Amino acid sequence: MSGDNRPSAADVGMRDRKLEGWLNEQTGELTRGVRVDPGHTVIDVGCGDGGFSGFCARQGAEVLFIDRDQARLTRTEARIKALPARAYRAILSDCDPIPLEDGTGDLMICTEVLEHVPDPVKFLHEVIRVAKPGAKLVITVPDARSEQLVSTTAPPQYFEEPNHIRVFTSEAFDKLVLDAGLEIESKHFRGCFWSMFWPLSWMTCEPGGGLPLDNQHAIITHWTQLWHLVQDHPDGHKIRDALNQLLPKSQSIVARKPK
Amino acid sequence: MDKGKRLLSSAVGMRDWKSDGWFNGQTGEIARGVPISPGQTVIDVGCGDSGFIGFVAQQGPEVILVDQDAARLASAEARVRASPARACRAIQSDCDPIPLPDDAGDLVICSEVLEHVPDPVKFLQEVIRLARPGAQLLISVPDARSEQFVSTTAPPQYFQEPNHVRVYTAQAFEALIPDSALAIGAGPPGRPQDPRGPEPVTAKVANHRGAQTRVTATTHSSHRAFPIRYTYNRAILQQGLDQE
Repeated sequence: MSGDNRPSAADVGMRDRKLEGWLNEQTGELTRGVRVDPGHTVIDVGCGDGGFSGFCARQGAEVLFIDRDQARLTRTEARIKALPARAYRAILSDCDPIPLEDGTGDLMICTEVLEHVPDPVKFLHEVIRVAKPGAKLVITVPDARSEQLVSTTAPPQYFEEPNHIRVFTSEAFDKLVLDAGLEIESKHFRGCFWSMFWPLSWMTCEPGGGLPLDNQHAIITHWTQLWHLVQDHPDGHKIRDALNQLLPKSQSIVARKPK
Repeated sequence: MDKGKRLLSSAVGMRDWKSDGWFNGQTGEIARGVPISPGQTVIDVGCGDSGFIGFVAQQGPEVILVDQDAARLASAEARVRASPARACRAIQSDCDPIPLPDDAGDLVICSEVLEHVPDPVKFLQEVIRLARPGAQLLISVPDARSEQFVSTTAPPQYFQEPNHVRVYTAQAFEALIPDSALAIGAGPPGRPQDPRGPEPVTAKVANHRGAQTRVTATTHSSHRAFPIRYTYNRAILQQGLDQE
């Protein structure tokens, strides 16, 4: 929280994420039903800046994190190095194929990646190949509803290489996972704060910049403050739960590779 | 925004209505494709004491108000009598049946009523009976998605008599209208259609502001197998839900 007591969007989004059952330091759950143990080998495919890899490292697991972007991979590595991971490895790869043996991971993480790749069926097949039989997979993609809303104000590049070249309806996402031979354990929708934040932020940011996370336009600071106040209210979770069903930012599937 | 000047939600909502093409003072359209002129007879079934009456009366037609609540009806009547409307009648009725002859109206409005009534099919049949051939009907109900959202915090009374006893999905709302002896057709606003017309098509217009699904229906030639044109207006949440 900043000095003038105004929460940042990142703070507000993180509070929601934890309330939605993610990154639970008490139970060691990455998300509900997915506990990370020190004995686990976790593979984070398309790790980006490594928020989830970092969580797994804090649980003491071995963490293998893969990205095609060297700069992000280096940042993630710097972050993991300082954490009590039992072991770690940064792997630069476009995942075609993933340079790991079959059946390596106890837990596979593939969050907000499949919307970027040219062949998601093939990509997911590689992710599944390096998972042990019986391993869990945490897979997320943006929800089609928030993608539709953000398309009203985001620049065209948002939906072009290397950004979101594919939008998955809920049904299409389920089908992708099931057709790959996985069993779905649970499906969730989350992140409605961001579903409003991003369209508003694209609408009000300076054109030509990057992802407008630190937009200080009054519309953005008001929305962030408003949502923070709503979540402070004893019934605020009801609004969040309902809005997560109506207009989620992201859809997540916890799946299992059959034994 | 002026510092210290508070915005009223009603003013904000009205700005959205107008920006969505409703209450157009220049063209006299209450909604896109639904013009009101002084020669018309407009019937508002379940008029309440707010809603559309002010705009309708301002366009100068004959206005027939129908409501079961005497106090609201009297208040609405007083407003219409103080307006340029060329004539006004107020009818207190539970609409079972509506004490008006067939084909009495050029425009029949039934806005945010069908969610309150015990038998919407029967109620809507009465409403349609009042529309003369070629008349327009303007019918709206709350959208199921916003009803679901509001149910998370509204008290139980919100969904009990005399409030919203029924929630319509878009599909259920569409189904209700053919059930009342209307067929669904498509065409640009205000243009007559061939009753033998093309395959039923839904004209959908994304609307990122309103909170309700609204239908305008243009009736043709007979009360059986009317082709009707309807326009969906989708709200912010609704647009988000639209998977097309």
